[in-house]
Amino acid sequence: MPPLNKIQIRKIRFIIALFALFGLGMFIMLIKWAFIDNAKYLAIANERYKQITIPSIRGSILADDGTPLAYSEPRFDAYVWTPELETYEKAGLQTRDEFLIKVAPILGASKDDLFKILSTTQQWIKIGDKITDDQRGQLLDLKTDKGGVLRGIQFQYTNKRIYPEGRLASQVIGYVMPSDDPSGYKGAWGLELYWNGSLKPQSGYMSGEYDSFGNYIALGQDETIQPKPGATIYTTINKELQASLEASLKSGVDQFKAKSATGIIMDPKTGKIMAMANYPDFDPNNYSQETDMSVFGNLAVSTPYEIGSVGKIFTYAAALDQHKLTPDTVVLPNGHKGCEVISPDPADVSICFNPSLNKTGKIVDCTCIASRQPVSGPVTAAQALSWSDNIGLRHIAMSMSYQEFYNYLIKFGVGSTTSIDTAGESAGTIKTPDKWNYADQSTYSYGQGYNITPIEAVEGIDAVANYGIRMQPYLVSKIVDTDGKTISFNPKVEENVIQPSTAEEIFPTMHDIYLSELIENRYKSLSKYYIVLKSGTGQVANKDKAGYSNKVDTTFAGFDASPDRKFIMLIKLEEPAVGELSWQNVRIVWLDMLEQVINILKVQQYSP
Amino acid sequence: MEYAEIRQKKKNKASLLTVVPLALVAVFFTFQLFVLSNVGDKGQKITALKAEQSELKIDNEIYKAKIMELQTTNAVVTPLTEAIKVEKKSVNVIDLSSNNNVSAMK
Repeated sequence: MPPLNKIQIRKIRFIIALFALFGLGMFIMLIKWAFIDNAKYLAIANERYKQITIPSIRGSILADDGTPLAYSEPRFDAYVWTPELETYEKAGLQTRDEFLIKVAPILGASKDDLFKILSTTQQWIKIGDKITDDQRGQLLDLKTDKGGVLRGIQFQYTNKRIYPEGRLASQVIGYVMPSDDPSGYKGAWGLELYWNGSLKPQSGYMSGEYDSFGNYIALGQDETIQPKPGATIYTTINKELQASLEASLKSGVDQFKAKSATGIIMDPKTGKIMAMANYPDFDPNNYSQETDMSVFGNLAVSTPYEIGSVGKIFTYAAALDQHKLTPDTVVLPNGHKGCEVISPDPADVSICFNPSLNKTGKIVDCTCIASRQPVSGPVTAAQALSWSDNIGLRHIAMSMSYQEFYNYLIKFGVGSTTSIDTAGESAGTIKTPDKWNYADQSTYSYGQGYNITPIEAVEGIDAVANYGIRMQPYLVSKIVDTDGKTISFNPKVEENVIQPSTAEEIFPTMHDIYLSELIENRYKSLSKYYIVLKSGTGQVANKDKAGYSNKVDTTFAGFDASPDRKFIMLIKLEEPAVGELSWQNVRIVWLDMLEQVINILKVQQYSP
Repeated sequence: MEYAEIRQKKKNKASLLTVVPLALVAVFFTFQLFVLSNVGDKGQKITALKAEQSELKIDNEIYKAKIMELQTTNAVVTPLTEAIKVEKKSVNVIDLSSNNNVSAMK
């Protein structure tokens, strides 16, 4: 190879220098892009990479027939994008006036209202909250006076919780309130709260690379997770029974001027709650308009009270089951004088009727019957229950030790929650037997002194109705998620409380009580059914001091004792102003409701 | 082996090493062209499909909600009430056991 001349060498050096300069420039630019302009280019790159959350909706709550009690409906928030609106207005394609005239009526607003909303400097202005799909369709179909599409409105997908039956089962279902959850709601009270984890949806997620025109790059990075709506909850609520019960409770409160009313109807064989209601209630669609916060709570599960003579069922059953006595055992050989001194120290019974006669200075405690009238002749255990005789029940309780009596009250569920599958349950209270005295034994025997919620009472009575087996009450029978996966909840035995033979021994006495309550002619046809019941009038304890007020809570609880065992029903009136005893008020509500229960559940006539 | 023969073999190998990379580059560009012409320009269609999919999801939810609405008591009772023209009336129950005049006549 011939040696290079000077010109050639210079040319080569020039080219090398040019490359070196270019390389240096590249190097400097790379340093600038990589380190100095890093944030700018990252932002540009991220614009090409979009992450979109795909919203989803909360699951539904259904009645036992599969019809909805609560569901979520897709809705849209409507916005005005002012740059777009102004662009079309400036181009002379539409005017602000025609926009206001055409859009306002669809949103249920006036032209002036909409004008005020749009008179801000914001670019993204909300003009419609949770509008329906029909409204969105009408807005999308709007045309300008010149025949073009009316521009300027954008929509954002959202949803609205609907309670189609309004107040029906409102305290059982609860309601939802706004939250950061994917559906925009979270449960508050009732099933909505208790089952919030199952009802709430999972949002979908979509990410991908987009080109400068906003089109998806098919070969770019991509990840999609499909949204998953919340699961569907199937309740055990029978809508027809629920509506009837609610109407009866409202009528009872109005007629007897009670503070509130509570009712529960349960299937004794399974523990399935067919109806559960309280009055006053609320409309979950408009819960924010309620001024009285107490209406949100489900009193049937949250409010323990002294149930009164209904508790005598537990005392009687406990003594029979331990063979301490039989229904025919004479518990008061000489009857009583209407009251009985229960203090250990002897005292004249007249002090019970007139405390001023007590000159001894010692406390004299008495147990009295409601009428305070004497009962002559021997009284059997069955008669004591049938006549709801507090003194007789005291003597039945005295056949057991404190511990034995306490053990049975606990087995009947007194003092513990039922673990029913809804929010807000609280337990009643009862003292342990080591803290009992003669007065506790006496008051407990006729259902005073300890607290029990209506649902605890129903669960306890179920032990008698269901041949000795206490079932756990439940409101949800199954949950079905969007993949079709089903979780079913089977009836659950809570406890074997008494022997089946003991339960059957109690029925005749309680059926006699039922027949004695059918006073009015209109109830006479009900005598053909083998229904058993017990009434109760519980004194209301003072809130600020010891002892009892002159207010009462009245309760009726009974069940179908035929082999079908179709229902247990408890109805309570809180502090009724009309009628002092349960037979004067809640009896009417219970028997009126019984007629409907018989029709709806097709209870058969039966004679043992 | 003769020197000329060895040299020829080396030449063949060298030409093969030149041809193969060139062929690979050609295949690569052809493949790129094929992919871009068949898939690369589908972004717009995919965007439209994704938007349609989202709309269909919402439509599906709307139909589900409409079905729910049709299963409610109001949806069943209101048309029936209108069709058979019934009105709500309060009912007074006459108690035969009470001593009012109406029951006495009975």
